[in-house]
Amino acid sequence: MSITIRRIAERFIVPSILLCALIAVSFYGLNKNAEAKNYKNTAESMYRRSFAQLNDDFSEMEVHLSKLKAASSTAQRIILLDDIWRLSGSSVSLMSQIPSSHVDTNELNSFIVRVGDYAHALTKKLLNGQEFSSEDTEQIRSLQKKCREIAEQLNARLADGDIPLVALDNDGFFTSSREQEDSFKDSEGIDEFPTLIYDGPFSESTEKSKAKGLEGNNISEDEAKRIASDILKISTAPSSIEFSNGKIPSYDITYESNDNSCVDISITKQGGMLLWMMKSGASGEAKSTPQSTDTTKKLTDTALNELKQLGFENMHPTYAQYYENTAVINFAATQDGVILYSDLVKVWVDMSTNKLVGIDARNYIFSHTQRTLAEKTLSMEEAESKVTKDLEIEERNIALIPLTPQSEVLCYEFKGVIDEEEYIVYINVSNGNEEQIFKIIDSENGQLVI
Amino acid sequence: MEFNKRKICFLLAIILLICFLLAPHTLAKVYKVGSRGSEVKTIQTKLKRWGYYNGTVDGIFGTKTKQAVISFQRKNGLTADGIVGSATLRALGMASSSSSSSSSNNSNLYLLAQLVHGEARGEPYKGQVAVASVVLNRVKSSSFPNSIPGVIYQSGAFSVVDDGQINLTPNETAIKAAKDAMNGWDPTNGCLYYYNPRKTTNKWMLSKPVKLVIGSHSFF
Repeated sequence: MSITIRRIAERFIVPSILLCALIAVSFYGLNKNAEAKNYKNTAESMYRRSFAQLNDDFSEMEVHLSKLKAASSTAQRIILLDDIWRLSGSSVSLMSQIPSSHVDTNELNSFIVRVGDYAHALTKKLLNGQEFSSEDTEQIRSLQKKCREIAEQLNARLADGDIPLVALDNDGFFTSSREQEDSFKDSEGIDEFPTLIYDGPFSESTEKSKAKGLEGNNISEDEAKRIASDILKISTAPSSIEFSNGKIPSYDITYESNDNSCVDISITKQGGMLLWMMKSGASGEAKSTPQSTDTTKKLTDTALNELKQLGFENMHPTYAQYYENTAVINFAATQDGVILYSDLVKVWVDMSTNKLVGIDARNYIFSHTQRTLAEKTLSMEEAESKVTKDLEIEERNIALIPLTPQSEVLCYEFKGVIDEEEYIVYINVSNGNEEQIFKIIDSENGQLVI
Repeated sequence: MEFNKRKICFLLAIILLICFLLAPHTLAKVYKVGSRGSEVKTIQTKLKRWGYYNGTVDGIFGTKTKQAVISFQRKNGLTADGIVGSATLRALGMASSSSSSSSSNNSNLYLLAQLVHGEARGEPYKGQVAVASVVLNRVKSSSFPNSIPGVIYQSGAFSVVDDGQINLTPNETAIKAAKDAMNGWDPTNGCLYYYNPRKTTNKWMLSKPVKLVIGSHSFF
């Protein structure tokens, strides 16, 4: 009896279960396969769309650049430049959507960004009543040529369907297209993209700019250690010291104490100045505690005191943020009562112990020098009459604000309120131009300036 | 012999069945009558602020809270069941399963924290800030997209985006690291790239001179 049952089981039940399972699994697999194909199609069409649109943007940019050569009225030029700026922004966002690795798109990306940045700088120039220089005309011509090359190449490859649709690491789509072209040009392949001479946030001169605040001789590792222990008042030996060859070469020194907390401090190689310092708890574990705003004054005073001891004199508190039981207060340097907004030092203060936990002087070191201030031709009252009547002014200052990374303007600063929202308006002291408008966003974490 | 065969057959059948049943199940967190905790408190605060709820904000999901949730759901075209699931959480502006401190008003910060958590959890704190700084340095550079999401989601830029780890909920350390980086602390001193020398096979990366090393990452 039991033998027959076993036989039945062996002959029919087990195989049929297995068969069912097999059918179910294959069905499941087919389903998944179809689903995967669907996703792949969707992804591919998104990539294709980005490529096609990028191609359109390039062609349009080239057309605008060539029209710019023909246009002579300021109004027409500004319309064209504005469009070039918009196209550059859209191309950059498309560049980040195509499946080429960032290593590959790097240079093309910065070329597009610079074209836009340059167009924007030219717009400002025209709005200030200046004309194109012969240099500008020459640069526009070379940009147009390069844009046409890129557009033609991209167009040809799109027509051939020769575009990468799978995200690969360093696939060389853009770099290879440049190499091909190099073989015709017989160059070393360094000057593929025209170098632009202008003053904007992304200009090459800005990206390669040197720190102005660095003074004095290079120091050795031991001297850096001594300076660090003087600042921190720590007598023990640091647990590590490393040379960091960044934008501002510096020695990064770490001290660890018995309670597992550690301090990181960075001393510049040239001049041995404090670049940044940060104390962190045991494992860097953050504690969130409710914030109280009535302690703001106390925190600012603590920060000011510490700054004075570190040799940062005449600092002016600008705005602050509060998070994770820490206050970050921004201080700007002052010169003869003028606030120098480029020379920022950020100070982190622990809100419960009222002690300094961090400092960042990179901006200060990057830009702090003795400035020659422009002659004032407008009085504060005259400037105030240029500010919109809707602004209820609460505070007045004189400040040097960065207009482009390379240039600063002396302005009257008016802080005020419109519809219960705070704004800062800057009026140029010599020509009365409205140079900049900031809006202060009061978030739960403090003030943000936009 | 025969017995063995049968055993194997059954084993195989069971394995297949298990495989079949192993379809991914994701259990979303749900808040309903009887739930307690800080998330419930947040739900109550939000509902109160928008005028759906007039009871006390006590962190206990009671019938009053349920009624408030139902009227909120009705107003927002959701299934009015009085249960706060992922759809309702989203409508409330609370990403499901995230801690209440991760403010919804700053999505860029949260995204940056997610990247830090995915790429550098287990690294020293300074190393976590450094990873966030690399993202911010890229945003400022002309060679990269000009926004935080643009840089993070750029194809091939970060492995955690490819394998989906970016969607993990960041811990508080990662959030703090992201905030510190956004507030200007840059331990990398302007670096644009980093890699883990033990994991990377990218020749281009390995050929570049390293500017500094923090934890297991090399920066340049």
